[in-house]
Amino acid sequence: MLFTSTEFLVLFLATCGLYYLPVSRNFQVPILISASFVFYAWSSPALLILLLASILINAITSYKVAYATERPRRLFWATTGVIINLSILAIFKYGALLLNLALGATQSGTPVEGALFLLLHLPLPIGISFYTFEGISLVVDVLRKREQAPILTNTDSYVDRRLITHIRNTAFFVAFFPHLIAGPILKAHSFYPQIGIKRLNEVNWLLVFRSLVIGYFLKMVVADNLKDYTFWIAYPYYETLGTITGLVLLFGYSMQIFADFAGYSLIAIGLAAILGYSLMNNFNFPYISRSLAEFWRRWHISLSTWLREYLYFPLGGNRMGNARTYANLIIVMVLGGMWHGAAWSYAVWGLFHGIGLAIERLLGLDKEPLANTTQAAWQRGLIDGIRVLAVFSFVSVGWVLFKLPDFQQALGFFAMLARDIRSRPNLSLIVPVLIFSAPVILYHLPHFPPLQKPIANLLNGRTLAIRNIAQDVMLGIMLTLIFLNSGSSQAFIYFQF
Amino acid sequence: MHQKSILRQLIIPVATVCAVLMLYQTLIWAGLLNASDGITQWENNVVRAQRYLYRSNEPIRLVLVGSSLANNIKASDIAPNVANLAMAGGATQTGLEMIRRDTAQPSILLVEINDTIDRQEDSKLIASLYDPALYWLRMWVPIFREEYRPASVFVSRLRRFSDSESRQLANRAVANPGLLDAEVARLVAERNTPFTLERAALIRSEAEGIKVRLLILRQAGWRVVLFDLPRDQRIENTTQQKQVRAMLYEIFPPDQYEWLPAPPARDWLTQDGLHLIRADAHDFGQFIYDQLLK
Repeated sequence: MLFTSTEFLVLFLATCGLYYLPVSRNFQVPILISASFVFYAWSSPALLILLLASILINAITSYKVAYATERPRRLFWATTGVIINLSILAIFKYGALLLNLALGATQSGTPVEGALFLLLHLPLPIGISFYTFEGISLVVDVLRKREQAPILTNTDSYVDRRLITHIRNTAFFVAFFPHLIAGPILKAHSFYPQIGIKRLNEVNWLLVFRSLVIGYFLKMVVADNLKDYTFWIAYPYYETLGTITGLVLLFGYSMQIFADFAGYSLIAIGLAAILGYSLMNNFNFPYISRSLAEFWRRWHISLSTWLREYLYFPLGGNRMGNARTYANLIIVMVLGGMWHGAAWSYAVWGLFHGIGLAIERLLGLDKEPLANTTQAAWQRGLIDGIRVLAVFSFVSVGWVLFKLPDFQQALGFFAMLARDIRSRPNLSLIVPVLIFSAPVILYHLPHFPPLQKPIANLLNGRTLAIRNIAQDVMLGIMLTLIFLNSGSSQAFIYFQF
Repeated sequence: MHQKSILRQLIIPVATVCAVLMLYQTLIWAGLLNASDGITQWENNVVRAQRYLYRSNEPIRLVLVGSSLANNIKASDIAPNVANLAMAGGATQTGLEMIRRDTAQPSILLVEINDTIDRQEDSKLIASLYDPALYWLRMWVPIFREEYRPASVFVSRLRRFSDSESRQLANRAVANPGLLDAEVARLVAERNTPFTLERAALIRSEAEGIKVRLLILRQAGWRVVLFDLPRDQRIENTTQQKQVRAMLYEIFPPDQYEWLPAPPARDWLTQDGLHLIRADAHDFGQFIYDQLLK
């Protein structure tokens, strides 16, 4: 079910109505779990079975971790939980890829039958990468908490003593519909403590309104319109583009993928806020990043922090010498790339970013530039601008592998860019791409450090009331454009992951 | 947060929405903004479908339904009071579904029939056109129609300066002969293998579905004429092209169904082996006029 569909609107309004009825106060969590299951099962009910299995496995293993008295037992259950989660992901997401690899290695020409055939044709359950990572987060967080508190009490654990209540809470944590399909990836330690009775008068309506308007604007007006132009990057259409048009479309795709995913995340944050829950911010103006390290602190924050907390740190992070740090960065990014999809191009994308991060660290470019008093403001601005441009270009080159997961086609696109320099720019593609990309640029600009001071100076003379009115008018214009200029609705790009 | 404070926060954005919508509608009523034909394939499909839905009461002389092949024939290439419901990237069935739901006075229905019918009806487009709330909203408040999307109106205005129709028609050459040859070679290789059983069955079942719809429309008084468009000669002679032609003549035999006569024998130029270049699409429109409306 899409956040932009009529059926979702009906489900959400009905759920909200029921949720805030005084008589439903004690049933709020079951109401949201039921709505989440309807939301998930809407297009393919069979996949709900896997979600239920995942919930049950994570609930039981985390419960065992929390209440096992001996440390080896706790470690056993935690390891079991993590392995089962990874196995589910491996079978459903990477089964076909790994099997094809094995068949290629054996060079067996015989047709695949039976269980192997089934493995090759398993459907990819929507959101599987998100909910398995959340399951791992639960098991690991409970273990970490338990390691800190040898004797567990109900106050310092989010694992309820009653198994049934813990299963209910886990179902809610994993399936809560605003984040279920495309994140933000929740961490157990930040979500479980929020579970409780919610009241309508506690809702932060300002946050709700802003998140929903900006989120739907980014998704429906920017991303859904840009997709009608960036589809030309697909093979074989890109062969006709020429260098300038191809580069502008790639720029547009960078804008689209941001607007699509940041828009989805903001909608998720707004919807969760209506229900009284706080989800983490997933994007922090990533295209003003002056280094790749900064980019990954600003882009898909819930995934990058997950990778840092549950993979990079356990691997040793940066505490084991330079060589090991570079290796860790590359390993984490390759695995992070593979998380996005079962194709080698995603691994190459991760490797590309991993090597980029390692080189950046080697050259000391990952750090905030120190304030140099001898440099004029314009010089600092220019350097920052060049760094932003370099990071944006690097990231955009990587997005080609998202748009064209077939590696040969991706190389073909770059070959076209190098070859067709003399082709006439296609203004009927370029102009709309620039128009629909403009809001993303404007959204980022006030946060770009060299511009922050001039903008602050400009606003200094204005009263707070005038600034608020200006913001409200902007929200009004965005809302108008949602009504008038939304593109044809399309599944969110990150649904496929 | 108090109810009063929530309302205070919403009042400016909501007032802005109302003011901008009213201003925009006024500009359109005053004729200061021209409608757009759509700046993308999808938008162009929706615009032509909505223009048909919300047309004036003047009777339509001929309605054309089909795929992207017939899509680049402009209704004005044929004659005034002609509607073209051929959908780029779509299929004949979408236009037929619109005719079925319409209450128009029956006239001539020109139906493109070829292998593109396996794309099936665009149910998403049909659902969006006939959404009960939006249908009436668009009827009474035109700014909500696709042709008045602000970005499209703006881009179309820019295009008018650079892309005149007469210049397009004057251009009788293929834009990129090298790419055309490469694409035709690819299509010929692809189409020289017979249809898979599944695809053949799909085309047959879609054709049977179309047959039922045509029967109903004929009973309602429509004069149904079937046709196909010329392609690059190298593609016309491929195995699949012969196979689909034979299948469709068998399902719609010429003694029971009226077919448009074959177009004049000449070298019809295409952009990509399948879609006629603009000038030849114009000529084909004139051919339709000569055969059915003259």
